[in-house]
Amino acid sequence: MSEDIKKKTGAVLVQGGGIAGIQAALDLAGSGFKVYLVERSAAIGGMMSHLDKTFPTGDCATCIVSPKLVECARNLNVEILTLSELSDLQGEPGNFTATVRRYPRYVDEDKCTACAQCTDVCPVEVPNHFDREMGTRKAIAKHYAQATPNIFGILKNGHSPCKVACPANINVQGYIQLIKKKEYVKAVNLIRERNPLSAVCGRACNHPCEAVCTRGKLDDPVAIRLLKKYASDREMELVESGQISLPEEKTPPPGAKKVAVIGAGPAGLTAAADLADRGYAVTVYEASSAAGGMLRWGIPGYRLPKNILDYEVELIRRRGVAFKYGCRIGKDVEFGRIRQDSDAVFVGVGVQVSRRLGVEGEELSGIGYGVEFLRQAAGAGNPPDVKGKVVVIGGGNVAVDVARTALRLGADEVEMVSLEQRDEMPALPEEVADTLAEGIKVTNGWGPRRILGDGDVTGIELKRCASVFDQEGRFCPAYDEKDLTTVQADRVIIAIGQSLDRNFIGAAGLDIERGCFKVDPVTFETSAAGVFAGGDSVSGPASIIQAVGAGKKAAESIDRYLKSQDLRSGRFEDGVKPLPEELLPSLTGKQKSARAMPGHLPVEKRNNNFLETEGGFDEQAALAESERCLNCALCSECRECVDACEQNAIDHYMGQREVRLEVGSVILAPGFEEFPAEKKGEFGFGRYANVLTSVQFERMLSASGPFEGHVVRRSDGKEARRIAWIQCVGSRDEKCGNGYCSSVCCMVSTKQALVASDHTPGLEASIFYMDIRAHGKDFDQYYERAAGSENIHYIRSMPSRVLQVPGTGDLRLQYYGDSGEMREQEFDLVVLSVGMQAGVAARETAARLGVRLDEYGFCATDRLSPLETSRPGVYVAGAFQEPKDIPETVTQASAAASLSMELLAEARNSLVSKPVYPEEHDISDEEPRIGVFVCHCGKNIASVVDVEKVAQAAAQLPGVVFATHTMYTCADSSLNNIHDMIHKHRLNRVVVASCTPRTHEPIFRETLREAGLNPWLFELANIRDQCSWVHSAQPEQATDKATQLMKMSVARARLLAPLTGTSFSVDQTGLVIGGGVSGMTAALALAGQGFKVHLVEKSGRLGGNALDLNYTLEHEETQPFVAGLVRQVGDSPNIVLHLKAEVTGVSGFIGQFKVGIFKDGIESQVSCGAIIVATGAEPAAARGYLHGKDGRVITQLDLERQLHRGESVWAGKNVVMIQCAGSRNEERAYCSRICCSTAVKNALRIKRDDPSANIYVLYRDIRTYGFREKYYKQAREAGVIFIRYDRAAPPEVTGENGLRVSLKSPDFPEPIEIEADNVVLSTGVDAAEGNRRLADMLKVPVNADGFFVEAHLKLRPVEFATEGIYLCGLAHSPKHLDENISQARAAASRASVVLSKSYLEVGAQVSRVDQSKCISCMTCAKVCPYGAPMVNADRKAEIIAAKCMGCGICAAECPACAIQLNHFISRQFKDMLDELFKDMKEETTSAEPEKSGVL
Amino acid sequence: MKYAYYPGCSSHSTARDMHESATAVARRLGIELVELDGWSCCGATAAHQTDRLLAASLPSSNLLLAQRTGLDTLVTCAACYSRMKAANHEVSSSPDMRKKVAEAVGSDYDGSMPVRHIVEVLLEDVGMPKLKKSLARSLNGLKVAAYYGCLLVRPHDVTGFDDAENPVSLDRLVEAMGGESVDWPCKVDCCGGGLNLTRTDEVVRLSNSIIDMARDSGADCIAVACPMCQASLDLRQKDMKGGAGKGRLPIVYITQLLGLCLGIAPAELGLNRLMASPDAVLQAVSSKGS
Repeated sequence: MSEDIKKKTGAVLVQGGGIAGIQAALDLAGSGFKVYLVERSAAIGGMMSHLDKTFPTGDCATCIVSPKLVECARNLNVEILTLSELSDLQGEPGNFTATVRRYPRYVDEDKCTACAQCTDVCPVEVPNHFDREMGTRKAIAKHYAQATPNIFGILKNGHSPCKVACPANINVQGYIQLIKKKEYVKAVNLIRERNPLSAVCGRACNHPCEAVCTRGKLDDPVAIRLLKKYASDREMELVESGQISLPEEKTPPPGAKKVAVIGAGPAGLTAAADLADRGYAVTVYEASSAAGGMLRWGIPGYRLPKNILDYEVELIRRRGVAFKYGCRIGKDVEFGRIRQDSDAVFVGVGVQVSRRLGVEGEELSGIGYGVEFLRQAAGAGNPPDVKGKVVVIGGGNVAVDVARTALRLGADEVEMVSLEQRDEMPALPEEVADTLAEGIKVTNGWGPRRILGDGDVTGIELKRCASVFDQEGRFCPAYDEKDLTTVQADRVIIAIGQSLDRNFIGAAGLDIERGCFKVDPVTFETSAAGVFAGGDSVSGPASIIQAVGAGKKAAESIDRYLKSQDLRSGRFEDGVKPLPEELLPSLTGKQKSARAMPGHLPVEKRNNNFLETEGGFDEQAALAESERCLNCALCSECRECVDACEQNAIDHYMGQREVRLEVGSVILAPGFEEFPAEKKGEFGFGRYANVLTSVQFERMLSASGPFEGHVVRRSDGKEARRIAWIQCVGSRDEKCGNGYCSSVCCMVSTKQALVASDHTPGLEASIFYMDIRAHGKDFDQYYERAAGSENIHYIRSMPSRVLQVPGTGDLRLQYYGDSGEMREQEFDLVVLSVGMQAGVAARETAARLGVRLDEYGFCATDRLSPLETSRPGVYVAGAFQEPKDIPETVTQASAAASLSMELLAEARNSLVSKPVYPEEHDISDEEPRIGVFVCHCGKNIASVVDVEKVAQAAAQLPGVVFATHTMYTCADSSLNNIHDMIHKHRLNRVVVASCTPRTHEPIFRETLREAGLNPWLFELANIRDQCSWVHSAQPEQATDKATQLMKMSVARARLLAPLTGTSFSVDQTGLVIGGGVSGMTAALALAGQGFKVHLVEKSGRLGGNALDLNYTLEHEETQPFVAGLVRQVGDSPNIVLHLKAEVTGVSGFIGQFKVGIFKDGIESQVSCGAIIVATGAEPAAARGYLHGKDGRVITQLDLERQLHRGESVWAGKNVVMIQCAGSRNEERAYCSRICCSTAVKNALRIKRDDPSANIYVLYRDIRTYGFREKYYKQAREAGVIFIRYDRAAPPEVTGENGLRVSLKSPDFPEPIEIEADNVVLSTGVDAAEGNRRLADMLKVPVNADGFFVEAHLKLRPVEFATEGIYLCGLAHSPKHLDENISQARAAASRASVVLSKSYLEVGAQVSRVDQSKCISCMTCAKVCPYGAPMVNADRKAEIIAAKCMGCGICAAECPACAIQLNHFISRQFKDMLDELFKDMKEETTSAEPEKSGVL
Repeated sequence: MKYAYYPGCSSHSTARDMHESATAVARRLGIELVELDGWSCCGATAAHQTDRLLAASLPSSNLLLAQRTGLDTLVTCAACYSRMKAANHEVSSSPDMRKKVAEAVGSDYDGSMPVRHIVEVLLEDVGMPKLKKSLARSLNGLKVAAYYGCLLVRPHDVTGFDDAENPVSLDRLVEAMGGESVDWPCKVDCCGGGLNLTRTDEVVRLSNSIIDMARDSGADCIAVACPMCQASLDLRQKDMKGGAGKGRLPIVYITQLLGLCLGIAPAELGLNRLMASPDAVLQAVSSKGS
């Protein structure tokens, strides 16, 4: 029997490395769990890493996400698995076994140092998907500049069509890329790996590769054969000119097994070369006097000069192959003898005997046969006798060769007679064209009936060929015997095909099938053991490259045979499969370019000679032609990177693998996929260069993007001055399957318009929208700012289409204006604000896990448990749950983490490890040795400040022993570099001149610790926020200022001293203020993890505002849920409930708070380690619109109550709802977020109860974001009438003669007047009254509207800047129930990071008192906001380190100068000022003698 | 390749050139066309504006004739194509409509008979390789604006042919013939064809903007695959403003262009029937004979 209770696993798998996955991972790892962060792409960072700036904060997205990436990478308990996905999950919540599929990176993660040498040498440029196909990247590259992990990777896409089509599977793309790099020898060597006859095939190959070349679908295929010829010729030139030498002659190793190859044609030569390379002793038996077979005796010299063949045969010989010429099997040596003497035999004897015609007169004199004729002409035997008129029968390549050879040998006239029509002739079209050009007549569609003559041939009688092939396309000529003609001839040469030499068949005794040797189609084994065959003698007359391919495959079989291995499985060619059409490169928008054409020997110079007729490319043409390759397989496997990588990190043969992980729970955070804009064809995306998606525009705005932040037209690179945004592309659109609102796009476009206007002053921005959905915290104010700008126009209209004005690249938009008139306007750029949809991969993962999806393909959840999937133990966070912005995503991530923590509480700390730092290096006796690192911050600093100059100046300063500048100093590789430099130069102080210490100081300090330096020996010079950003127009002065700032930092750094902190214990108890849904949820989330929680509620009842919420859009009844929470709180042994209680005072600090609680007239004090503020908000009081004067004017809350009780009758009644009655105006600048959904909810309720009621919703923008959009649509379908009004002209309510609402809508020409039975006001949400008082106690901020202000709007949404205090729910801002639940859980998760620790370290940066100077005036105690100073036993001041926040007020105020703030001591500032004024003095008084630098 | 040929009314009247060029091209390419015995009008633009059942029944009765031949129906007119496809769609997706149509035409039709436009047949059945091999002449870089109009590719759910916003099939044929298909934005604009008799002014306005755009995009001619489009653009050009001094733009059927490239005499292709002179096209084709 298994154990009754299995211990849970203290690890969590997080699928998705975007901001959600990162946040969840950091929370979990921070509170004692092992995390596997599984990401499909090559780096974590998700969508945030693509963005330029965030709204409404204006932060650089990369700058705020990068520190998180680094934190993840550096956290010992977060294991990042990139290029990976969860493929299977077995087991139970608490004990899952996860299978993770890991796709190959082709770069060893442990070996790569991100030196980028591979990228430098890679010749393959492919579209950069990170930049959304704008611009290119190398096939081997880093995912993006700040990619974490900082490792390179290769993009592969199977095998290119050319390679698949080539019978020898030559890596065509690879050698073309090498040609592009002018690496001709490498190119030829790559070819020769699969085909020893590179130069030969460069001339005489029938190039099946070109027929399938993807480029051919765009214009013409790449001239692959001619590129091969060019590279081969260049290699030969180098050999001939002695610049490179021929390879050393090899001999087989002693005792090598023997292989005999019969026939030195292309198949035999290939097999021989390959087997010699594999270490066998190969002997080639050739009947004729030289090697080459048909290459020598069949292909005339004007196509394949013999010296070319000789050269390649010599190279094969040098590979260790022995040749025996003039050795005919059955005559000179017996086949049996060869079999006996060898361990294996390859037969590649070709087809050497011409087929007979079998017609009357074939015995006449003057009749010859194709191959025999060519063989004679090539010098085997007497030259053929050619005179008068020669007629060649046949339409294949041999016939063409015969005809052209006959002409060169002096025939007066040559005529070809072919059964096939011109377009059916088997000869290569270019050969036929040459034939015609040389004056040879080609007669198509006739076949010989009989040969005429008497002794000597005089002519041929021909019959009309009606058709050559039968229905199935087989050769089956049909003739019209009545349609006859005669041609005169002095010689007739028949070239209609060849067959095997019967003598050889007899000698070899191998099985024959259809006139050829019978072999196994995969292994090329014949009927005789150890005898293999390939080439024409197996396939019948075919091409050179087919013979080469056969030789290669047979060689593989022979090798396996001789090693007694399986001949079939895992063969090279098995892996070379064609790509599906959709994976081939996209041709949309690709520029056409003409195929390079080779020169030709003029026809008049071809007489009586066998000079090569086809010229080749010059270098320019070859390079241009190689550029035409589209790199179908992405990586070309040219292996340049392998040569360049000094770490041997690259492995092109890396395969996919699977790993199994034991985890207790899973969090799905795979994010979203952008709507494919090409699906909305009317907007011309993919067709017009200047139509972009919003993500592309982000990349355009980004300094590290393909346009380096310049807003330009892609068509001509000119500055874009007129830009249109089209909203809701792929959102709120049932037609494309996305009926929901994507929630963020309105704000994205608003931000983009503002940022673009910053980049290009005077830019005209037009945003075409349906409703502006600025429902987030502080969003509406941001939107109003944009809308108030003269150059940003919001146009409420959906353009019907975008068309490009011919010849200009301008885009013309058609849309309906406000008064219904058709308008046209032209723009430089059109940005399609694409919506979010659930990614295919995410949906597949969900399906594999058995996680249910909703109607839109997102993860199905319930509004009341928004983080739980249908599978217990599997949670969801972020956009995969519903489209959402960053703050909600981060919130959900923490919230999902809290669920995992709760599930796995018992296993906390069971699988984690702690960071181990090296022992700190004692620097007390050392002189300062300072290292200075100046950061480019991409373009942020370097485009203004000359960073190199700053670094040079640093190097000159006293104490500085090392100075450099780096692209992103915070990148993992740069941090490693700092680490290395500290050791190399024995640095004991480090100065970084970069962005801001606010975000980056901790990272650099951590680096110092890891290098064995005290972290306080670090100083950051802010040359971005305080220099390059504010002085972007004055680069020179900015450089000077940056230098000054850096010098001051160096001056200070000389005086930096190591500091150590102290640790103190944590009271592992939480305290939650507010007993609404948020407060209860937070308390339960902490209690569920085993922490003790105080829950303080000022009223006598738990539930808060939710007690007035009777139903939601999605739920009929909400009170059972609220009651459930109340019951759970009551049942929880860990929760101490304080009802009718108020917080009266807060003291202490993170880990050790003391909170005063006033209850029942008694003041008591509780201790806790973390505080969560969940004080809620209040429904705003109704004002105006006759509210309070006329009883028929009510609020939505009143209406909901009535509806819930079912006491009112609505039949035939007119109900007018007025939205924004008190929001989005002077009174409340913010949007209350919930009112639109509330109105829709209540309107639907009325319509459900009585469809005959008339409901009018007067609104400014309907903000039913996310899936709530569905209900807005339902309301419209139910007949609810929505009428828009402008902020400037709100509706008026009058009460005389009945209740009337009148308004002027921008959508109607006439004023509207509605007789109302009821007017319902959506009054919005007010901040709770007591917020300010509580804020003072907690020393945390509230905003102008009275809501609490979180530490960072985007990335720290549930915590205050003051450590240990968190917030959630309506106290933060108005929001829906599900969002409150998420936030409450998120706050609990963040608090758990503190509460899970028994000890915390406190800052070393605290004030200390020089007791000898203290005059006991106690000024410090009076001024300290944190109550840190105390009077000690000696009646002197002393600072309590744990309370001291290091603000320095005491130090500034102390009249005796007895207090110094650690790390900010006076001398440091004095030296900084000295440094500053020293330079200023030099400038102003340079003529005067230098004075001493003492102030 | 053998098809049941549905010529449609216009082939016998205003668009004889379409019929002539289509049949000539088919003959040359070895496509056998068997004209449907007893075919009747498809209802065109008139029927579906007045009566949904009539609009489904007329094409259905013709497709029932085709069913007897067992052959795919080949259509040259985009309007006929659209109506037949729409009828198939309606009958196969609505059992109720199928029943009503069966009552109206006296025989049950399930909406399954394949309907193919000649452009589809050229691209898919004949195929580019064979087509290219068959060409005797080239368009020699003639700049052609391929114009699809409303009916050939829309609605996509019904025709399932090419892309509804940026179709390329005609462009591919033009390129195969050695012409240069200009990228222009009005490929699927409406010419106003359905209003030819009732609102001629609208037809002139709509067609005018199409022709202007084609000319501005550098086109030497417009290639069409619909007799309504051809009529609107060709016939109304004399009433149009703009483009003065530039002469009229030839409006040719894609089958006429193809016929020329296959080496068929202009008269056999009905090129003599055009209003705007096709000289520019003829000159381009004959400029460099192969």
